Amino acid sequence: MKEAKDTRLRNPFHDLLVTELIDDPQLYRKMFSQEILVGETLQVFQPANVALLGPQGSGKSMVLNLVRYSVLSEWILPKSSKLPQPLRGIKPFFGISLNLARIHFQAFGRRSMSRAMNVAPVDLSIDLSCAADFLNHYLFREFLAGMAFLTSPKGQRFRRWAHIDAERLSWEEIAKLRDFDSWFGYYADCHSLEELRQKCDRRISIWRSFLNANVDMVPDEVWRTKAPLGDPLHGMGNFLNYLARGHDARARLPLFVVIDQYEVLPELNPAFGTHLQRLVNTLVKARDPVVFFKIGARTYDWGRELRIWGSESRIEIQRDYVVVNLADVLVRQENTSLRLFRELAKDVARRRIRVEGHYYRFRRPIEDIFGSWDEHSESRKYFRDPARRHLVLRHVPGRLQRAIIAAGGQDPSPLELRLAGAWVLQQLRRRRHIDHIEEEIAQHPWRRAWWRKERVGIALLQVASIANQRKYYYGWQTLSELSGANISSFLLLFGEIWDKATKRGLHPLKGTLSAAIQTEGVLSASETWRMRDRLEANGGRRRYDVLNRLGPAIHKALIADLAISNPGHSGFSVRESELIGSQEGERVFEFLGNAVSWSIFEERAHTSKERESFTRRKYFLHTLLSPSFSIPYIRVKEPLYVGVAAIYSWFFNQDEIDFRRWTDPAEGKSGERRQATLPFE
Amino acid sequence: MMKLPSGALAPMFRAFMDRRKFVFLGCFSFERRCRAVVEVLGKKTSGCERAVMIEIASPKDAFPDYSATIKEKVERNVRELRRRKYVFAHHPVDLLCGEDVMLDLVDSISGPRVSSVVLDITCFPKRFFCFILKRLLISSRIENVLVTYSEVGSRGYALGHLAEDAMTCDYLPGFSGSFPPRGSTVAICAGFEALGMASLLEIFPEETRNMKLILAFPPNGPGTRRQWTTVRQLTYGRAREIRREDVEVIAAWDAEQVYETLHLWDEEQGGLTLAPFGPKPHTLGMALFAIEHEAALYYSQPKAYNPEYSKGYGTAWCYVAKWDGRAAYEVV
Repeated sequence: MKEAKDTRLRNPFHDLLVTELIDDPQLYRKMFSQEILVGETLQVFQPANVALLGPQGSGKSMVLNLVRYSVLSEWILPKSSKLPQPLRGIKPFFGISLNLARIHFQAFGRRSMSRAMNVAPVDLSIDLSCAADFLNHYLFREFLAGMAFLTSPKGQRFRRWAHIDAERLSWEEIAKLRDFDSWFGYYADCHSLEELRQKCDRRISIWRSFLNANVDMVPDEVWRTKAPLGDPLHGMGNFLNYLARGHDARARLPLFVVIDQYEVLPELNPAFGTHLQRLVNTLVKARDPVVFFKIGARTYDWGRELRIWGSESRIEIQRDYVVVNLADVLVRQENTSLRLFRELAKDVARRRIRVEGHYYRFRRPIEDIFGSWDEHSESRKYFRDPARRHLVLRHVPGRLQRAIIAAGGQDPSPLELRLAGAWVLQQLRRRRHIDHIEEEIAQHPWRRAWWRKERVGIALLQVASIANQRKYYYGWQTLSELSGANISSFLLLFGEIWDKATKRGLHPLKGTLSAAIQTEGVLSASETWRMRDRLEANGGRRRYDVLNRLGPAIHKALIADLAISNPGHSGFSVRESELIGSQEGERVFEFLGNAVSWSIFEERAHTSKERESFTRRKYFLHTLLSPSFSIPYIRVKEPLYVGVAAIYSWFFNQDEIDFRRWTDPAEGKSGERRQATLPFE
Repeated sequence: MMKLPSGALAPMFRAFMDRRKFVFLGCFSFERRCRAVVEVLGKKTSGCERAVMIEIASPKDAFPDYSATIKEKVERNVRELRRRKYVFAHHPVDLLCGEDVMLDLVDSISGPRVSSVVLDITCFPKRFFCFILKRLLISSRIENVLVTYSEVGSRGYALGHLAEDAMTCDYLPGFSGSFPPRGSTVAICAGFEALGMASLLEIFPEETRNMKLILAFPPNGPGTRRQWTTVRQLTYGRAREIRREDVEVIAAWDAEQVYETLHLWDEEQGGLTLAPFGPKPHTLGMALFAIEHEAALYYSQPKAYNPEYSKGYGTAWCYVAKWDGRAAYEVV
């Protein structure tokens, strides 16, 4: 019993937050799957401005964290001063980071500096110049901390890796940082690194004190020495090159700056947030040859404001920055496997078990914990008594029921019978003669590969429903599919299953967990994922409302249709052109974008089945939400085609969503499916 | 340590403000209790020179959209005060307005002849009243500041969600804390709503996060259950991992005890970051502590409030936050 309690408390998947890992370089070193993530995101570690995009929980912060000098130095091998594979190809750089929300950058503009200082009633450019100064000095503070690290014994490995000449780290050399023209003499009275740091802290503190309304004026010493945006950073980049050129005059050591929480500025400061983003954009636009920015943002939060400060000019992709989209790297595309994500998930799980769970000797393959899954075995779990299996055929005419049973062989699985029944019902709806159908049953047409593949997920849900049971979710393959290529959802799944097992006194790492325990864990994780968004910012409450109408609507449409005529209708498709140019379309697009960013929807481009010249995008609920609504998690072709007016009404009018019957108000066209549906509970 | 004289409104007011002139600042709301204190103090006969009532407008994108019901209920409260011959200035303000707007508000009530202010926090959003309180306490012109608060009636709070559509956790205006921040412990006052409290832990910058909890002393079982539901959400279901010594249960009206508890924890932990998600008097205790120690106050501002938030009104409390030019925390 004590062991069970210990195992429960030592659930390695409990802490889903990555912040703890990020703040602890040594822990991060043990937990980060560098082989997989770095290999796929190499551009982040090269001298280029990069926007690293991905939905919530996809691992952006984990990747960007490796850019920080304090973290990267943990990887440098003590003897050779080289990085291990696959990081060995990375050329030396020096990375500092800034979390804009943590430093309260969003505060600028909420209390007008220009008004307080009696410069003008409200002058936006003055307030932005103050924000720029704050940014300059905060980055300088981070840089100084980096210099202190390099001069310390802890920085020895990094110095050797980056070929930094230790002699150039003396105060006489570092004093060059004090003398930048852009400081306007503010640091002139500093005579050590520590004094520089203290004076920098004092300046930041003055700005914050004003923004906190502790004081009503900014001291002259600060007001008259505001540094132009980016100039000091250029000086810091040049200084790094100088440090690296002790032995090789052509050597370079670029400065990388990680910017985090860029996307929350407009939310935290509705009036001024985008102006603050424009300051950051200006830094990117400068294309400084010695300073490079790495900005992490949720997929659709990037690109809403690309203008720079004081101009309508925009930062341009490929010219000013490149995009690395983790969704493209890890999220499954149509007709490709989840191989990369599965490898990542296994690696992350193994590290968590060893480091967080303290099971240092754990060696088993992760897949063994969950075992395998096959569709027929699953369907048999719903009808353990073979005599009851005919119940799945109860909607099929008696004569055809008998033909199916005869064609099914000795022990047909309930799944086999349900698929056969679906095929028969489809033929009857097409008004085919019963004799012809009976003849064709002998050839098992429901076993045709594509017909069957697209319908297995729905058929299993229907079999479970006929048996008045909840669906089972188990097996490694199922779990990795349910994760939706999102590492946070995978950790949640594993953590919940771990909890369910230990509550029953079972050790999750010994033997294979039963289907029942895995199912309990999956349902609990799915419910948590569903509830999670209610509390999320940026419209989470509305998304939660839409989710709770959309999920049941999809369930109703798919599961009640015993002929399984439209297996792809677990999602919907909309023309891209409809999402731009109208207020309605753009509001829908923003909602869809946020839902994708927050891992509530999944989005994929697709080719239209109709002969039209429009490109389309299709949207599904995130796979981990599927168990909560009893809808299939395997995506198949041909989602419900729907107009933007209908989607608008689903999202913003709080109308009941009916996936089986909808009318496009714009076109007055009925999108009702042609076949009837059967009453089905 | 601090001396925060407090008690039921009527005797406290008699004891401290007898015949003294003051300005009253309150906030209209859809709740009946927004009128409770102003009905007692808002008449000229009680010494009220001027009453200013703020009306807060929720953002347009708030969801669910209760704006029509809220408007109707607020108008009813305004009409009722007018019908009963109360005289007051009525200022509409956006919920998410910037600090400049709040500074204007404070300036508008603290004219050269004003030395006493009664701030009724009953229906003021936390982002407003903490900021206003801070400015009043640091103002050299304002001598006396009394804070009032009316409890809900005997039928309590609505059973459903009280507030929704929370924004990303951010500091309250005026309370981003000292720089560099002190300590690595976050003290949370838990209430009935988790809002975006969990995101607090994501933005909290320190390497190790210690958590301390303050719960309101509950009058009944459902109240306890709701608070612990909030704590479970905050801790991702691991409420049992919270140690007993890190939890303090304090009467919902007792702002001073909240302050004292924080003071104790601050000495133990070498600095605190605060998250006032609990009842308003607890927030008052936290705000007083934060003003004195320049601690950060973090909160997830909800954009939508349930128009059935509470029923009726109960005991009204009065706290003397500043007297004779000295803030309560300056009086030992």
